[in-house]
Amino acid sequence: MMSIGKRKYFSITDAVSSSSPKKKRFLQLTPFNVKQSMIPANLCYLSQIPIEMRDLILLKLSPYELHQLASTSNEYFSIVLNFLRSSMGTRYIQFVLQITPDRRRSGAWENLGRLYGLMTSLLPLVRRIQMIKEVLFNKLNLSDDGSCMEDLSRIGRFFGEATRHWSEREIAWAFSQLDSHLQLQKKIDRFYSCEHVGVETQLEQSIRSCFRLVYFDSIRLYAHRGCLLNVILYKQPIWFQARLIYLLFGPMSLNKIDWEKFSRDRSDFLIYPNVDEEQAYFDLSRAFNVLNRSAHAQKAWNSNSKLALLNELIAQPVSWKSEYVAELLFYCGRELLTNVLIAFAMKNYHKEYAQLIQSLCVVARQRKAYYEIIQMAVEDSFERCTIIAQRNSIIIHLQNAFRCVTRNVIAVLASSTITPADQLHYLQQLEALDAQKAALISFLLTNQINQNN
Amino acid sequence: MAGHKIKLQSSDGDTFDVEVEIAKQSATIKTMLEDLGMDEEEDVIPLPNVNSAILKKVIQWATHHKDDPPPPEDDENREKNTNDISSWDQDFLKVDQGTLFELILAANYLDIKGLLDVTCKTVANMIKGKTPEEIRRTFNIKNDFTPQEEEQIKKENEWCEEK
Amino acid sequence: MSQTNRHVKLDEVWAKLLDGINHVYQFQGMKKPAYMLLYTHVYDYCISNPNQSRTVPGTSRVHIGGLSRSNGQDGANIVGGELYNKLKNYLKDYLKDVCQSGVDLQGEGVLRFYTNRWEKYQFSSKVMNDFCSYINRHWVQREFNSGRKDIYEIYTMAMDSWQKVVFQPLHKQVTHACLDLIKSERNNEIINTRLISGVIQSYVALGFTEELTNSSHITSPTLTIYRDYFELYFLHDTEQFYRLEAATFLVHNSVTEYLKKVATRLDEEVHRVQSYLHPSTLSILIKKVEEVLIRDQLDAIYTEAKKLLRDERYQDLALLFKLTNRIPNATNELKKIVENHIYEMGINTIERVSGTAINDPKVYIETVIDIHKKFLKLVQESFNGEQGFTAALDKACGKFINNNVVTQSAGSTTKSPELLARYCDALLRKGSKAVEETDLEEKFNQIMIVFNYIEDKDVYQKFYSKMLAKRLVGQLSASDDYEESMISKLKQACGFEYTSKLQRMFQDIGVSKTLLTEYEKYCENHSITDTADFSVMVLSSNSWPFSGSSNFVIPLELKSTFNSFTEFYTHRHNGRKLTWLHQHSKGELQTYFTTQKYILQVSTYQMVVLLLFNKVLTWTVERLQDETQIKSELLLQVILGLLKSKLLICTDINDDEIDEDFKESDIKTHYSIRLSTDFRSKKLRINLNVPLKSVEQKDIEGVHRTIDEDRKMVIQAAIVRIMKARQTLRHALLMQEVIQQLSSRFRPKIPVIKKCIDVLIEKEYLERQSNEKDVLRYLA
Repeated sequence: MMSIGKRKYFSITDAVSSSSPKKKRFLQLTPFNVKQSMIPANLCYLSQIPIEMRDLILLKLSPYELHQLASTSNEYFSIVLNFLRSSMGTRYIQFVLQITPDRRRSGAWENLGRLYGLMTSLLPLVRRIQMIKEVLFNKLNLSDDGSCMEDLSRIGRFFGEATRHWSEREIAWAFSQLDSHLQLQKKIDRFYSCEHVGVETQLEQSIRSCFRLVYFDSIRLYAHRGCLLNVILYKQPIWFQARLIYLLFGPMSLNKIDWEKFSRDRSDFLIYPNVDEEQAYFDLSRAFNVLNRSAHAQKAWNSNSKLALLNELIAQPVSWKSEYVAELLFYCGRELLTNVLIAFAMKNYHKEYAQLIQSLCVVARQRKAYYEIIQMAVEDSFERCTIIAQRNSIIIHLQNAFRCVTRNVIAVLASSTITPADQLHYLQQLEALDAQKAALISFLLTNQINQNN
Repeated sequence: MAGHKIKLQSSDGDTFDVEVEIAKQSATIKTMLEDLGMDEEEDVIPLPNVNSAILKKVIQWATHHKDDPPPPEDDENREKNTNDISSWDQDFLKVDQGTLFELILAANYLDIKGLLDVTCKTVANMIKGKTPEEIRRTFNIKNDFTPQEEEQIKKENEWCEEK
Repeated sequence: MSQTNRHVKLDEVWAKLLDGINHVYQFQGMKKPAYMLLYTHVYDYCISNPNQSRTVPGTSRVHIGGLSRSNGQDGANIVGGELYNKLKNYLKDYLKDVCQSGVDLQGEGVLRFYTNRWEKYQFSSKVMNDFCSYINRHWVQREFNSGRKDIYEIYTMAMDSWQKVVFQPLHKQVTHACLDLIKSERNNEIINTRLISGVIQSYVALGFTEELTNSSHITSPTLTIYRDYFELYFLHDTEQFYRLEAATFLVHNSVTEYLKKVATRLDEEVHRVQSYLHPSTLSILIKKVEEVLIRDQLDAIYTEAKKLLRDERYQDLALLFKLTNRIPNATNELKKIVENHIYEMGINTIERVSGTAINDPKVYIETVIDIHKKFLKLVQESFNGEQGFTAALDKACGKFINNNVVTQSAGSTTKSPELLARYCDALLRKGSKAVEETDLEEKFNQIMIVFNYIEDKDVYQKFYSKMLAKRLVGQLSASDDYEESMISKLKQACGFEYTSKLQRMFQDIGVSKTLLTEYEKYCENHSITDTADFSVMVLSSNSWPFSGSSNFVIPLELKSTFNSFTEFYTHRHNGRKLTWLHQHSKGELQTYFTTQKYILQVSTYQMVVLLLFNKVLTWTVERLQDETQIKSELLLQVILGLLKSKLLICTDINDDEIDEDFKESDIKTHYSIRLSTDFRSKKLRINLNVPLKSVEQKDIEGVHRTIDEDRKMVIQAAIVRIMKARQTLRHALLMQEVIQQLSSRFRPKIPVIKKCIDVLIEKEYLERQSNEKDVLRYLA
């Protein structure tokens, strides 16, 4: 090879690879200026130039383009990987964050998350998480004590994308690994030891935002969400599970968890639907709905255990008013609704049962829908009661519950402190309720007579 | 100083007379001249890492860009944007890949920031907008993933489709 | 595998480089080809990428597993570290030798050694840095980015090595030698400053390392080495040197000599910094020198200032000021000294001339002007016209002009404005001595200077308008232009309101002239012929400081003239009332009863009396009064004047009784008065119109009396104006505002203001707030 004469300076490069199988190829690398036709078709220049120059090229690519490049071969996969791991990679990431407009779903954090999702995909799990942790906490210096909401959201967006294709088992493992930084579990333990809720507001707030931002809101798969939720509920006593659910998804006011929201009386609930807490109903129902989406958690969360959890939840921290329970049940869907009613009916909680049905009727009218759902649920629960005494008791309690409402409405109307418009609303509501009650009772009576026959 | 020339010698022994001002776009040559001064006697400066054809191209580029304002320091936004290659540079860089990469090496060796930047951008543009398969074809990359790896990567490649 | 390969290569490349490096550090010239080859060696070494061997296809598990090896340390991907360390060790060994050869040197020897070696080393390192620049560009950059703070660019690393290996052991003796040299220069020896500037340059260049941990750049020069190892000691030395010098020098020399020395010393130190120290030292060094040489000697300097003022050594004072001014707040004391000096000088000078000055406005005012001029020159020349000193001058002048021996002996502060007004009058009267127009303008300006110091500007206005009125009515002004110029200057100083009366007076004279020509036309048109030659000025009563005069029966001879003009005027300006100011009127009579015809210039009163003698030759005083209806005391004065002129004769008195002591009260009503038919005089034109003395005397007293009354009105007007705007206001605040508003006119006395407020309360313009006695409220 010294025969190339003057080009001896290139021979230095050659010395490295002299023992490698690429020796031949390298010899041909030297005459870069030969015509296109003479270049061997299998020569890849991009991998042959020195790292520092190739890094300059990589620096000019977007995360997506790096992703594509890494997907070409093992060699490029490691080129990109090494690039990202180097200090040049740190510069690259900071730079991407700086110039990419921050959009949800396709912002810089998501893009980087996806890129790292690929780059870690060929690694064993331990190394994957190690790498993700390194990026988040060393390269990007995000604060990991949960004090900065923005950083939590960033971690969540990155993590959510990077772990898209992981299995549930891997996600659960990732949680335990990330938690060595975020310390969510420790905070939950501290919360457990709190005798009263609403006292350590800062702790409560930090648990909620940490879980929601990192492990829930930006996780795409319901199965993953369910799995992660299960991870923190796992092995907790049921009352604490319910409390945690409330903490994580319950209503907020003024940046604090509003623990008393559902146990507060709302005087005009009969005529005005409550819209303030819709987000909370939605979030709470989401929690119930994802739990059994996780294959991992499916065993733990059958309809019985969910029912138990719900039962516990509506007593958190003290018993909810039945109208709020009714609202939540609407969001949770027919299955859970029916199960609750059946449970009440079977366990002879007839008074509560009747009250709940009455609330459901009010809510259904306000939402202008789904009355059939109630009817079917009532039907289902009623059928389960085979003892006549039970059925009678139910009918009596239902009548009482409706009578009670009527009495209340009359009291309100008599107090004359309400506007004529409200007065009208009350009267309409009363009339509607009466119709519903009549329909229900006659339905039940018919049913019972049929049964008797 | 204008018109003052120095001699540059390529690896294959050809000598080029270049105006000092043009040659000074190479930071390597510039600092050397600053350190050693401009002697009366004209040394031939050997550039053992650049062959004649490439050196010729480099000189051509430097001559065209001799009046450019100095690039702003640390302007990363500009550096990243690969769409701002002038049409002259685009034509100038319509060369085979071998030459292109040789130019990168030469620009790096001689420390010519502008040329290095524009050549790197050109390579970056060759990657942009391509599928992995197209990239492989462009750069002669052999797909050596195992089927399992391929599977794994395919999965990850659903970049934005799933919303 | 790649590890061993690299070692082989490193030794190879090092062998090639070592020659060149030795060459460079032995300060032998280098040719460009050699340099380029060195650069290429380094470049080739660096781009021989050890990772290349890892990119063998088909072994992906191996290389991905391999990642964990290079955990963290990022530079591992890029070649350069080993070479960098080799260079570093080379420099360390090289510099150890250097240090060894200098360790025993002292004084200039060590300086010469240090600077010489330093300069060469610096240059060599620069060259080495440049041919190794590829390491800087990539390996060093990456090391730095990944957080290593102990890796520098090669040049900086070379500096760092110097600092650790050469500077640390040698700096004590080097700094010491520098300071010795500087001391010699301060003692006027000639030294080789290049030795010091070389050392300083080196200390500055070495400063980068100290703060590196905090800074983001690989080389960011800070001055810590220079500050800590040189400047600190230097300042300490400087302080000691000058403290000693100040103490010894003042023992044998005057303060002025001392100050001259200080000035040169300061110049020297500035020059010192400029020629061989770092510019950042300048301000701190000069401050130190100022503290030692000036601030600590201020007491002596103040004493000297008093002496210099006394001796009028203004040039030395200028130097003294210039130096004192360098110390913050030190000139305040100086200002006080100057103010006191001017005040004393003013008081003393006026006391010396007070004997004549009290009645001679020219002496008084020109003395004042001279004092001012003299000290203005002092302020401008010695104190650079600095504001504080101009203020001191103003304060001193204000004090002595408004209150001095002359005003004290006159018993009131209003003496100064009066004298100033009189001085103006003298200048503006016909036949004044100041002829040259430019001269006069200059005088006006001087008057304005004095005017501005006067507190009671309203007094000046009173006197001035009185005298202006006299000049205008008596047609005694030297020139209308001068009058106008003076008025416009006053207007500039005090505003439109201040001079509005003066200006209207001026206008009235002009209007009267046109009125008179119109009247003549009127006479022609109405063929009124039986009038005497007649001219008149119509003056608006509220602009002129005149009061109506006692009337009399208009004699037949004048009747038609009076009537026709009155008719003419009332016809033109319906509703205006004309009042004749006889005391300011005059006329001419010709005698027909004497052989020689005399022309008599007389006042109107005299005319009235004399015309009576056209009817009868003898009248008793009583009869005269009956005929003329002139007030008796006035009549007696008129008669007395005519008696003295011998035109009239009193038959009841001997001629020789009428002398200087004869008074009008000596004329009794039953005396009879006769026309002296044999009147004779040497002159053909006889002026009998001497001003009536009672008028003259009354005027001045009147002015002083009316001033107090007028002031009360002005104060009341100001109070009402302020209260109208504010509605409610605290007593004290009201006082303050009144004083401020009126300061351009006069300085109202507080008891007077209080009295005025009481008056206004009584008149129900104001009331005291019922709950807060302190607060006043405006009543609409």
